[in-house]
Amino acid sequence: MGFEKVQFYGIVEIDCNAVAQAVFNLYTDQPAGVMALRETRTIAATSGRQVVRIRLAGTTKGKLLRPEIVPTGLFYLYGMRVWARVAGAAAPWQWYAIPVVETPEAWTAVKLPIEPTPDEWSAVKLPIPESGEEWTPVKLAVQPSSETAEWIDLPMDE
Amino acid sequence: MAFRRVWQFKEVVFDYSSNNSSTFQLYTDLPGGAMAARKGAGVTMASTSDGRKTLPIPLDGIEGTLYRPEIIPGATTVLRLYGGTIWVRPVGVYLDGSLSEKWTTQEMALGV
Repeated sequence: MGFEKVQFYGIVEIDCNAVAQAVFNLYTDQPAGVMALRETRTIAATSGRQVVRIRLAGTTKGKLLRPEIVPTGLFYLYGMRVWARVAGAAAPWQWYAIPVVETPEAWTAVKLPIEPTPDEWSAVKLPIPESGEEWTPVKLAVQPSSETAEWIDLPMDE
Repeated sequence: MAFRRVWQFKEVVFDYSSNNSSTFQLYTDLPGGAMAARKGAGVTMASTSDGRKTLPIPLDGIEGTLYRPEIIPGATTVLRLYGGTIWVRPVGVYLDGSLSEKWTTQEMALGV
């Protein structure tokens, strides 16, 4: 396991956009097995995205490490790696990536919440009363005739 | 450690028709933490003479955790908005020193 062996740390490379100056700190657990601040470096402001290389003291070592960045202003971190080798062995120096949340290269499309306009037309009934299918009898306003004859007085000259 | 997700904006595309001009504006909360207009006096969406048109508007350099697009039609404008798409990407690690933010990892061992 990586934490069983002491490693020397030689170089740290930081892929970043430092709008303002920042401080890089490196904590390790060697010597004495206790995590402590072993290296402090200043990262000058960069003009856009840039890989900043920090050469550490040749004696910086540890089984565990914890890098830290403390910016004074805006700071975009895109990646970080450490140049290290196992102590006491003929192991070669090699780069180890430090886990940094990735910034995707590609852009993502997000639909704005605009009510869709359908491609097809919809039928909407106008409020016109329907015509009936059948005929309906309607009584005409005619005075009904009496069933029996009635006497009436006729106006006559005397 | 900063856990908020900051988005970078690339472009917005509108599908619309209008008989006169309108103005587009984009509000975001960065920098500064307060919602503010990021396109100056706004971008003019020209009349399409009532025909349907696609208009891309560049948003390079604009960032935010929140955003609010806005379109204001002119006084005599009838605007029909059919759709809109905004192109974004999240920034992996965005630190603001003025808020005392810092980045660090857990204690870790290199290799396996």
